[in-house]
Amino acid sequence: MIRYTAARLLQAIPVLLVVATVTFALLRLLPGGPFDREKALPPVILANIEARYHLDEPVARQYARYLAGLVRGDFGPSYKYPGRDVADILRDSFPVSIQLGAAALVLAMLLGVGAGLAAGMRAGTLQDRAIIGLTLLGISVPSFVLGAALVLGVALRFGWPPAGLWESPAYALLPALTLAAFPTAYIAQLTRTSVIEVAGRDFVRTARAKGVSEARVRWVHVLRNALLAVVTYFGPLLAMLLTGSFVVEQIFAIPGMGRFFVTAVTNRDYPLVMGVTLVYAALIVLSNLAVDLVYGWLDPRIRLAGDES
Amino acid sequence: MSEVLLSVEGVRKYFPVGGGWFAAREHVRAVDGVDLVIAPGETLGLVGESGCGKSTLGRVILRLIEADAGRIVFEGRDLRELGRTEMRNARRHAQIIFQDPYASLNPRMTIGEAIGEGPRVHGLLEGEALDARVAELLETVGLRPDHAGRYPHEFSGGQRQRVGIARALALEPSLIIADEPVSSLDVSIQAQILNLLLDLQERFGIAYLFISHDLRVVHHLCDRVAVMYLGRIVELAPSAELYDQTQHPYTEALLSAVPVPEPGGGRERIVLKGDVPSPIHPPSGCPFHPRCPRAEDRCSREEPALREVGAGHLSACHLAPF
Repeated sequence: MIRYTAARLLQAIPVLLVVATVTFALLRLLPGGPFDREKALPPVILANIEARYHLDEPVARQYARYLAGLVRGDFGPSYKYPGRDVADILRDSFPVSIQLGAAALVLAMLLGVGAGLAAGMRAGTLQDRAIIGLTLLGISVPSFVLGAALVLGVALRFGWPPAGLWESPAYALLPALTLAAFPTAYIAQLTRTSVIEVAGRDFVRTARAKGVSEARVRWVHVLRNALLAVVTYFGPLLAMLLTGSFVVEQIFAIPGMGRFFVTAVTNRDYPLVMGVTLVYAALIVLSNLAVDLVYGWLDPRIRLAGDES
Repeated sequence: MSEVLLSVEGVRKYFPVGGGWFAAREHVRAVDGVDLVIAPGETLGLVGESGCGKSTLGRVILRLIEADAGRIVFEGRDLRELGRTEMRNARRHAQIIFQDPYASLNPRMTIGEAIGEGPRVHGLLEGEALDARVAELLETVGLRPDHAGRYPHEFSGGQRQRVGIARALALEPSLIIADEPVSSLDVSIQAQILNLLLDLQERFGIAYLFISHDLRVVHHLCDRVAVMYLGRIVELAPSAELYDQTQHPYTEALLSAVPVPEPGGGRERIVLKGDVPSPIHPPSGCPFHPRCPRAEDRCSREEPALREVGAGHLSACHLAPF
């Protein structure tokens, strides 16, 4: 298990290198530069600035310089926020995004699996139909609508929870809810379908024939098999919640990484785009690894070769 | 027959089909008024072609599917009148072996857990005593006791069916419904499993309801055989007699289709006309009459009752005994 994890982490290095290379190339291919203004800077000043950031060197040289920096853990300076390192910005904003994403993840998992079980275990009933209706809503309503609705309908009307900024756990409530709406609905539908499918399988009938109680049939035989589908979705979900929070961060004025991601692209803030992209890529690699490990734990058929236990 | 373990009386199960905006809801008559009796330690074979309702009957008896009508008296109590808890307790004594040994084991449970679950949930055994019992059961069905910690996917089809048998035995049942337990296995493995079933019957005095479409297997294994057609029993007789003195044209046709391992030997092949009629709209009179080579006028009008045509030999044919 430890060997497998270590091997997977080593494999992440070439992945990140490819991500860095492609991002670097794409950024340089974009028209415009970081110091284009509506009113053009005088050529001398522009040349000075570019020399300061080594932008006057050949691209290959710049690439080598950037990679050398990365190895030392140096993400370079931000062009847009002079005086601040990219590493600095990431250090401030990354934890915020992680907290928001984690809160939404927990919320989506608990609510989604709960609602999915409540629907799937009683398929065809009024309760089931009501939950399906709600999930449809959750999937269809975009986050900027839901976020604005929550701000107007809850935060402004009742004065709590707060409608913006990021100061105490209560500030996470509305944004996490907004961010979790879609995955909650999706997980609920996934769980429901999966529960219904597993409940019809032969081994569930076998369990009933043994005289196993209905509760045990559901919680032991059905649930564990049904949850695998949800775990499969866990990886993409994790990535989506961590990288997809841009809109939500904007609505609720949260100083997270998503905000920097988009503004950095429009500003052609090369090092900041690179930094954020690499952090996201690393997150996705890690979340995929986490899912594979959970898989092996849940499903004995996927136990890793060489892991005799 | 003095002692009765299981008595099935007038059991019916109709499955609703269709029923849309314009179409009326109709019913598949899967089991259409079946009477059976099984004595302790006896093996009753139940044969018939695919879709005749034999598997449904097996499941209805154990209330894995609820019957629409009839009585299922097992060990003196009508199972259909039992409450949840009573029914769960009754399940201890009546177990089932399923056809598909792949699908009927939970892939996320070791076979030890699967076999031990019955005794455990019924509060019979736990801890080391349970482990010991599981090991003993594995040995009984010819598997290695130290394989208890393995998962179903690590076993072959025949081994899994042995696990299924061990699982059914775990509760020391007096009746096992074997629903085509060998039809998904290789012929060589089939023989092993059948001999195992016979052996277990001798040791533990278990009664079997042996559901199959393989007449040779049934002949080899069963004391009496019931032949099912379109949800009804059309002939029921002691095994040897059913083969030698067939009293229903459907059984005759089935038997003529059994391959005989001698060139030129065997019976004259009776090829039935047409397909099995729809169980939604069974034919009038005798359900077999449209395909019956002996059919007469009254067969399409009068429904034949299952009646005694010899000692312990029942047939639902107007013309019997031939």
